[in-house]
Amino acid sequence: MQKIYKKYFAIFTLPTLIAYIIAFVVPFFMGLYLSFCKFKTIGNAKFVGLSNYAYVFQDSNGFLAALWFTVKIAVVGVITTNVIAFALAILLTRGLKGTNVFRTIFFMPNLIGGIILGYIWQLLLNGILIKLTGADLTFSATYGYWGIIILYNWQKIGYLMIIYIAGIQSISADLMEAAQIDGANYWQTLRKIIIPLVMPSITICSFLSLTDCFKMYDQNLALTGGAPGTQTAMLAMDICNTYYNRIGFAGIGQAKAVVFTVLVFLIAMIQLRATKSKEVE
Amino acid sequence: MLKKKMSWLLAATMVASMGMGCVPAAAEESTYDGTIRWLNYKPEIADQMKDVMAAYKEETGIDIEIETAASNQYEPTLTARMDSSEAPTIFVVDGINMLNTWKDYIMDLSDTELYSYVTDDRYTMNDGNGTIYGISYALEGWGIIVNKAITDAYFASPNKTTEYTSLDDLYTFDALKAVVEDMTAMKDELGIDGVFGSTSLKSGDDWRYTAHLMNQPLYWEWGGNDKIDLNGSVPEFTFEYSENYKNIFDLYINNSVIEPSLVGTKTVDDSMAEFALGKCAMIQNGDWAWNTIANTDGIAVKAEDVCFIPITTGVEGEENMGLNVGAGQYFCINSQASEEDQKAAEDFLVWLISSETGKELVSKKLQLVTPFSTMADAEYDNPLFASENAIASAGKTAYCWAANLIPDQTWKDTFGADLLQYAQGQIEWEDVTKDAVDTWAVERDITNSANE
Repeated sequence: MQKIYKKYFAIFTLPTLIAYIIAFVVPFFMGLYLSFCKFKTIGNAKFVGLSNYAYVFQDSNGFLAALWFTVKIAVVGVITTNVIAFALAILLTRGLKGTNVFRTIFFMPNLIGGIILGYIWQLLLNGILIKLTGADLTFSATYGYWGIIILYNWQKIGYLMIIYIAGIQSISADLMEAAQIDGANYWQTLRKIIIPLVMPSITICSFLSLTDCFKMYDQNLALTGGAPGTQTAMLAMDICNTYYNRIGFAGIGQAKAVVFTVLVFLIAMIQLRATKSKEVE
Repeated sequence: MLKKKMSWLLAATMVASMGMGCVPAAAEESTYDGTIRWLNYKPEIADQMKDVMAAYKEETGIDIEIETAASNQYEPTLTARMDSSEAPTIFVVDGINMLNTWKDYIMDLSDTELYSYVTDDRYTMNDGNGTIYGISYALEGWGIIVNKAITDAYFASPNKTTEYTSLDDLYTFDALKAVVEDMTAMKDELGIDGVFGSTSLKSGDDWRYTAHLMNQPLYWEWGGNDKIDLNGSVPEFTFEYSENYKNIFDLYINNSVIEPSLVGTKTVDDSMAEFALGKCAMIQNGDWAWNTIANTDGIAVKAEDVCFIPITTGVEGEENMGLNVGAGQYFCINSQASEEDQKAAEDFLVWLISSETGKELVSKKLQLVTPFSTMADAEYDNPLFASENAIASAGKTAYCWAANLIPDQTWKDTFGADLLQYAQGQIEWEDVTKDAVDTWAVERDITNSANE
């Protein structure tokens, strides 16, 4: 069997590889080249060197502000989604009645697209805010910030929960039983056995939620649209606005996108390394 | 066995992909077997465009694909489509900035049959030396749309405290303000929630104020129709008429169906629905809005009651002014398309504006006022067109479309966000003015240097 795989290795991977090259590698390098150009459509690009990048780091109202806002969302978003998802996973692996029903319900928001969720939550949050404060989401960046956090939690918790449940269920019952016989209480079991053994799930979940936060666009667009002003615009939205809202700024938008890609890549790598080192065999 | 099948499959795929690369040469001169592609600018007539497609296919057998860009997304969509293999043959530019960006893709129309039907060069985009870049297909007017049934009830009421007796008196800001405020005081008697529909300042829905209402201060600051060069570069801007803008904007938000603090939640469609359902007496919008109003479920306003009055802001001489009228959108033909495609596109446009079916579609379905001589006898059912004509024939001067010289979307977005914060009471009007002027200087440099 192994031999056959080796022999036909190329044929099996070729279709995926071709698709990957066409849909990812080629556009990526074209994009990299365009970030050094002034252009309208990619057919008539003119090379301008590093000037696009120079602008990206001068523009304190645009890219850097969006970066800071995104970091703030990511820090709180990653922690809250993971903690709540983990807590739910623990609850729903304890053999409570109706566990499957709850799992399904918690997972469902994940199946709805970000734009629709954004509009639904906009209505809900505006309704509450107007009742309480007389103002809506566009009134303050703080409202928008917490709105995005709530929306993101609501959407992502179910998905992360499923991964955690799988992790927890794969822990051997022998280990738990042994701990019980040794007289470990629940917190001790959680800290010394469950968490170390679900570390692979924590790696995956924190990776998913972190990159998700950095790449978030549709939820941001539908919920706040950046209002007030561009104060709640995250990185992806700032890139999109740069690209389209000013004349001759496509190259600068492209340069931002390249910086963005490198940034997300670096952060994801560091995070993977950090959590992976804590995994136990 | 597997290997053989595999290589056969690969070979087949390769042949197929080679076939896609080359376009077959035209077999016959008379029949065009390609597809005419039109990237439509106006989302409000997206459905009606389907009728146009069907009618042309039926009469000529030629395929035509009309795609409509989402509201405020025309240029992004055009940018994306131009890069694809299905680039539009007919597309639209909306002003001098867009023209400069897309010049490489625009064919000179001066020798075409289509251009020979244009009645006045004012409705074309040209370089002054005979090159015609685009021809307007939509002369649009905007002002304040009024539900006459409600204002007539006001004018007839014994409880009113103003001396004005008809809409013809409302050609100065002072008169408009007095009447609107009096109507607000009597809103229960008039059966309305507010005089004006919601001021929609939700992001993406603020163009009625960031682009259209800005036409007033820009027109006055730059010295009127004779001095404004709509094909020139972006002029300087000091917001000299800032107080006048504030006048009308305050009137809108303080006499509305909603509280000023909630304008950030409202869209243009919300506002049109309020008007259609008779909850307000006036909204600021243009003749294109009739489609939306007429198609609202439960429409309560009658077509014969709908008319325009001009936007007034308290500038001396405004009593002689009429509506804002301009050629906002221009047909262009893609210069990088094949000659065959260009010819087919032109034939289609000529059909649209001169054949019986085409004219009927343009006037009844698309409801476009065009500058073509062939369309002179077309009949319209949009009551706002009649109102435009009435105001023009009363000798009122139309404001030209000065707002077309606003530097870019970034300026509009910033201004819209500031207007929203002002309406919410978070910033003062001086801040709005200062920000508008400062941002203008920055964006003007960017736009003018990009267009050099």
